[in-house]
Parts: sequence; structure tokens; C-alpha cells
Amino acid sequence: MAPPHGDPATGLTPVDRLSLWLGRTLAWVFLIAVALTAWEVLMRYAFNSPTIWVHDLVIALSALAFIFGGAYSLQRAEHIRISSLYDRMPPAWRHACDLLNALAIIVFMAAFGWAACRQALVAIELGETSGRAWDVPIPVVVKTALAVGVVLMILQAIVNLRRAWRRDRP
Amino acid sequence: MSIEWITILMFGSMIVMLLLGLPLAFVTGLIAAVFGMALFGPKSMLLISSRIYSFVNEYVLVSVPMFIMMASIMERSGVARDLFDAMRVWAGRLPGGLAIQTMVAATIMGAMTGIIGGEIVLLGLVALPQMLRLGYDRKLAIGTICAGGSLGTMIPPSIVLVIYGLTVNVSIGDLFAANVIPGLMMSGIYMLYIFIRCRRDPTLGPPAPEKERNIPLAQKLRLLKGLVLPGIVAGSVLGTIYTGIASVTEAAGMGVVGTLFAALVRGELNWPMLRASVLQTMSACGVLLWVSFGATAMIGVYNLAGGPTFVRTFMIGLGVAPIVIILIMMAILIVLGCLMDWIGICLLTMPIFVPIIKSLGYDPIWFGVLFCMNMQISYLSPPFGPAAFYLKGVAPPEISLDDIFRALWPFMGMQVFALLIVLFFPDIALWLPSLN
Repeated sequence: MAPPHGDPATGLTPVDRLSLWLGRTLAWVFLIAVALTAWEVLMRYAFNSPTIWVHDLVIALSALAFIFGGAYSLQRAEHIRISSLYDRMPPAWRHACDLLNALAIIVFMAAFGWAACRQALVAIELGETSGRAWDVPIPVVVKTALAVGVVLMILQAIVNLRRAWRRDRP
Repeated sequence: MSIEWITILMFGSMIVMLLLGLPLAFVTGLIAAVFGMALFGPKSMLLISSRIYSFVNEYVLVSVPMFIMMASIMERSGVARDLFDAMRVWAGRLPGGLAIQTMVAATIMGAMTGIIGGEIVLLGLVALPQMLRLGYDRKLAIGTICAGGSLGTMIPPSIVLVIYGLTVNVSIGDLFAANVIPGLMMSGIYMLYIFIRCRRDPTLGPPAPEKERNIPLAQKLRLLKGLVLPGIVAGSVLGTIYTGIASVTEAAGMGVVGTLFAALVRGELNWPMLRASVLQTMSACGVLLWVSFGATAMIGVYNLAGGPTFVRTFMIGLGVAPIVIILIMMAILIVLGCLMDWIGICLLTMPIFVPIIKSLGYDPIWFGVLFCMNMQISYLSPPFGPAAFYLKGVAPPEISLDDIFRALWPFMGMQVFALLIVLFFPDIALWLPSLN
């Protein structure tokens, strides 16, 4: 088996490391969301003083985790698929399917990413704010993250394709 | 291109690519990108990105990671194991007693979790070895665990109902209430089946040896303490929803707090456990959310092409009784359930189906229950039924995936039966939510 490319010790490229790091770091966001939610419920019922910011902050934090969770699970090859046929294919067929897979991601992400970038640029230009009681530029952050997350998925798809092809090399 | 051809090409190419082993998230996304650009140009992509942006801005969606985290923590704690032990000592001489107790434990766990996976893994680790040790029929034991563990999304809370409620814009509280009786009915049917089969042929589910059954009453009652913490966990979610204290997301947050509390009381709460739980949550969310993005994109393009109107005209134009249309939809869902994940199915089909059933005068809450019951079948159906894969991961190596799928047929039959009962008697679902 040919050694995987990237760092010889771990086989991880910088792209892999970025996807994993973002995923592992942002995973804690969910626990923070729980703590904030509990805080909100406590403030509302025990002290009768609901906050205006918990709700929106929890949504924004979770959105960031959702967006970068894509690249994280892509690096870990966890996206739901039917592998029964794929597993029985000869290596050459599998290579073709891997290529098709990477192309699917890249075409989807390129089209969606172009739109996400435009969406983000418009938000940045306008300095878009949430327009709610807690009026902060959350849309700028989340829309930018969506665009960045899509670019990271494209890079990760390319890295994964190279890895898949090298793995089967005799 | 006519809408007939668009429909055939979009869904046909989807199925082909899924069978080739491409992930659902990217298959749907690719189809959205190709058809969107070809039919409507770049503007359609802007529509997709704004739809995805507003999707991640839904507060209800935050309950999904919370329900997943609840289950991830529970999986790493002994709470559910104690629950099973508390149930086990009461099995006695009842034919198939241990399997029935497993089902009772699974049903209670269903009220503590909103996802599937954790429950099956757990029952596979604790209940399966015990049933096999007593000489239970392997198929019966496997089926009990897979079908029982799948009740996680049938007994409220349930992320299937959360996503359904979000997609078709109906009250998630009402959906939860509507699912209670059908969920218990399903579990009751499974238990009745186990009882009848073991009664006719006691070798299928022999009782435990006399020695093990002779537990003093005092000790039996002591084991019942194992019910306290699960009660707190289930109560922290369902209690906050039904007393109207909190929204679904807040209730899920309280559920995580309740689960953390239970783990803390048992002295199991530590950083490695917490870290593993949040990472598992992240993986699961990355997968679920990107399937939703892809499906949202694909249905967005199909919508632009006039798909829903076409399907509606087509179905109404069949000139059959409305109930037949519902049956056709159920059949489509069962077929898709063999190929796709529930969340993809929900986001792709419900925006098309639910307006039709509304115009036929049916209640979308009832249809949500039918959808949820249908997804129970999809967990067990080959070649992709996730319940089987979860169990395979923890079952003894001599039990193959084929063995598991073969064991699941009778349980799928019961699920279809239960589905038909609720289909023909909607009050079973709608009675409870009608009370408030």
C-alpha cells in the first residue's frame, strides 16, 4: 500500500487538519448553546427577566457548527451513503465512483458557493444586522461562514479524492 | 423540457447515483446545481443559498443537536443500563419475558431520546447477550432490539417530528402529543407478538433459571431505583413541553441538563466523556444538516420547475379515492425509505405531499404521525436500514448483517399493520392533541 500523502506521520494534509480542528472546536458550541438556553429559562422563570440575546446567539453559534460540520464529517467520510454495491466493485470502478463523488461535491459546492459568496458580499457591503431586539451583524458572520465552509468542502473533497485513489494503488 | 421529463430525470439520476454509493447530501446538491443552472441560470443558485441560510436560522433546528447530545451522553452513562436491569428482574415466568421487558425498557428509553442509534447500540450490548444466554430464538431477540430501539423517534420526543414540523410548519408540540398513542400501540403490538409466539413455542423465549428469578422482593424494589434518573431525564424534556414552560428547543436544552445531572449523580461525568459526546454530536449534525442543505436545494429547484403542481395534478387526476392517494404516498415513502435517510425524504417529499393532503381535507398532524411511522419501517428495511447497521456494530461476530435483516421482516410487517391502523383510524393520533 502506498503511503498516504500529506504529513508522513499522520497522513493528514493542512486541509484535513483545518477541517478537523474547526469541527472539534465548534463541537463545544453545542454545549455552550445548552448552557445559554438553561440560563435563559432560569432568567425567565426564576427572575422574570428574559434576555433578548440568548435566542439569536444560540441560533448563530449552532449555524456555525452546522456549516463547518459538513467539512468535518466529509474528512471523516461519514456522510450517509449506500455502500453495498460500491464495496463489491473492482478497484477501477471504485475509482470512477470516487471521482464522480468528488465531482458531485465540487459542482454542487461551486454553484452553491458562488451564490453563498455573493450573499456574503452583499451582507458585508450593507453591514447587514439581524434587525431584531438584539440588533447585531450576525447575518454578516453566518453568511460569510457559509461561503468559507463551502470553499473548505471543495478543498476537502479534492484531498479525499487523492487519498481514495492512493489507497487502492497496488 | 417538460415537467414530466424533469421529474423522471431528477429522481431517476438521484436513485442511480445513490446506488453507486454517492452520499445523499451531494447527490441531491449536484442535481440541484445541474438542473438549476440548466433550467433557470445562476439566479436559481442565489435562491438556494438564501433558502439554506434561512433554514439554519430556525430556532427549532437547534433542538436537533441537543437531542443528539442527550442521547450521546446517555449512551456513555449507566442510566439506561440500570433501567434495563430494573425491568429485567420483573420478567418472571412470562413466556418471552425477557424480550417483553426489553421492549418495555426500549419504550421508556424512547421517551428519553429523540433519535435512533444509541438505544439499539445499548440494547445490543446489554439485552442481546442476556437473551442469547437464556437460549432465546436469535431472530426474535434481534428483531426485538432493532424494532424496540427504533421507537426512539416514535415515542416523543423525536427529531423526525421536529424536522417534519419545521418543513410543513405545524406545531411540534401537537405532533409529539399525536405520536404518543400510536407509539405505545406499536410497542404493544411488538409485545403481543413476542408473547403469542413464545406462548405457542416456549423454546423461543425460555424463562430464566429458577435461581436467577428468585430475587427477594426487597431487592427487586431496590432495583426500581434505576427508574428514578430516567424519569428525571424524560420528565425534563416532556415535562417542560407539556406544561408549556418552554419551547421545543428549550425543552431539549433542559433534557441535556437533566441527562448531565443524571450522569453527575452517578459519578460518570468527566471531560473525556463530555468531549466524546460533543464530537459525536458534531459528526451527526454535519451529516444531517448537509443532507438537509442538499435536499433543500433540490426541492427548491424542483419547485421552480413547477414540480409540486405537476405531482398534485397528476395524483388528483388519477381519479381515485383520496385514501388511495394517501396509500400511494405511503408506498412511495416506503420505497424511498429503502434508499434514503429520513431527513432527506422529509425535506424532499413533504413540501410536495403535504399541500396535497391538505387540499384533500386531511390533517397534516395526522400525516406527520404516518410519516414518522413510515420512517420506522425505513430503519429496518434492507439494504440500508440503519437499525441493522447499529446492531451489527455491537452484535457477536457470528451474527451477520443478512441474519439481522432476515430477522426484521415480521417486525416490518407489524409496522405496516400499525401504520394502516392509524391510517384508517386517524383519531388514534388526533385524540390526544385535541384535548388541549
